[in-house]
Amino acid sequence: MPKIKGNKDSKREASAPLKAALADKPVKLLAPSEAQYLKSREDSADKEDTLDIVSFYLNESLFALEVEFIKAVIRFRKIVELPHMPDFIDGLISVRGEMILVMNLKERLGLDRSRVKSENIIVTEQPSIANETGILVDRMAGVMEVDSKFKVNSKRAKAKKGAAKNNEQAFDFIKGTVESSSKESIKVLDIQKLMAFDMPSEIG
Amino acid sequence: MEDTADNESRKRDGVERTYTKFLIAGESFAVDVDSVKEIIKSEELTSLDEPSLNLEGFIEQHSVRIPVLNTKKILSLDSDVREGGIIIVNIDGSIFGLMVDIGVDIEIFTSIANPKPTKGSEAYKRFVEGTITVSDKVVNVLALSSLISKESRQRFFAGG
Repeated sequence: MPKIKGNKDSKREASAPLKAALADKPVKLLAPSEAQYLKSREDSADKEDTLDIVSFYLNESLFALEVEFIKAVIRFRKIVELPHMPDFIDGLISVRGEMILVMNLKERLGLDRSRVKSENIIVTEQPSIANETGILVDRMAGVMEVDSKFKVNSKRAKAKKGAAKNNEQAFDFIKGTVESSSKESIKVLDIQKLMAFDMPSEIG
Repeated sequence: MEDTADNESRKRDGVERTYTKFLIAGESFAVDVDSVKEIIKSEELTSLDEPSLNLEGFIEQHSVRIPVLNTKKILSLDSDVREGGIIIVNIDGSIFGLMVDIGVDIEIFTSIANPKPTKGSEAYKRFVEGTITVSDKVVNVLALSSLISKESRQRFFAGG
């Protein structure tokens, strides 16, 4: 069955020069041949569609971040606590002589933070944010190439017994899900949403 | 459509074929699934009002510019139902977009076509090449070639 692709729902007016050109001198609006169309479709399929993600565990569930936002993965180290921070900010760590904030990802996603000990910190960077941010995770799983068109979560997951204390919160940060080679579900997180929070004014 | 096994057994009129059914202005139509290349939901359409060509505009799909026909206008259907989709089809070897209503009403199924209706308006007889029955409802099979007028063929088809 042909896939229905969602795109923006918008129309654009033809540019004035184009309209004028059509009015004065009818232009051949040639419809592409099927061969031309199929070749272009094949070419764009080759280019577009894979994405590298780094996956990790949070309380035995697999999550992932897109590689383009990851600067480094380091072993857990001492965190300097800061007062007046959001609950999900554990404090500061030193990375290459620079102090960066550390986010407790389980807290951010509404998961039970006490269940499994964090072993790694993913150092992330985004073009829109000047500073790097560290993200606490359990053990790393790996790097994999996935189809860039994620299967989007269309249903909210029901809270399972003994699992996330608030799955609704986690859902808001999930961009989509992909499947690992061992058929495990990996939830790919939206780093822009994770990093969208306000800092207390006295810290700045 | 490349992955439908039924296409390989497609034969002449009177035998089962596979169709894609959709709505235009709330009315059901169908086309042979072989002619359907893609279905796009709410693509960015560059509007270009060309009344003589029944052209709604064009879209860029896979770096190819495809003219999109205003099917509601061609079929003289008057409705406030808003189009939301574009079906990309092959008409006589060239690729066009057809404006359709989008939603769950787009289906693919196999059926046997009934002969072209003898009654009805001239426009209806011109654009419909047969009918099929889907869940006890009669659906008109569009004659895709008829959607392009003789006058517009020169503009759309190379050497036309």
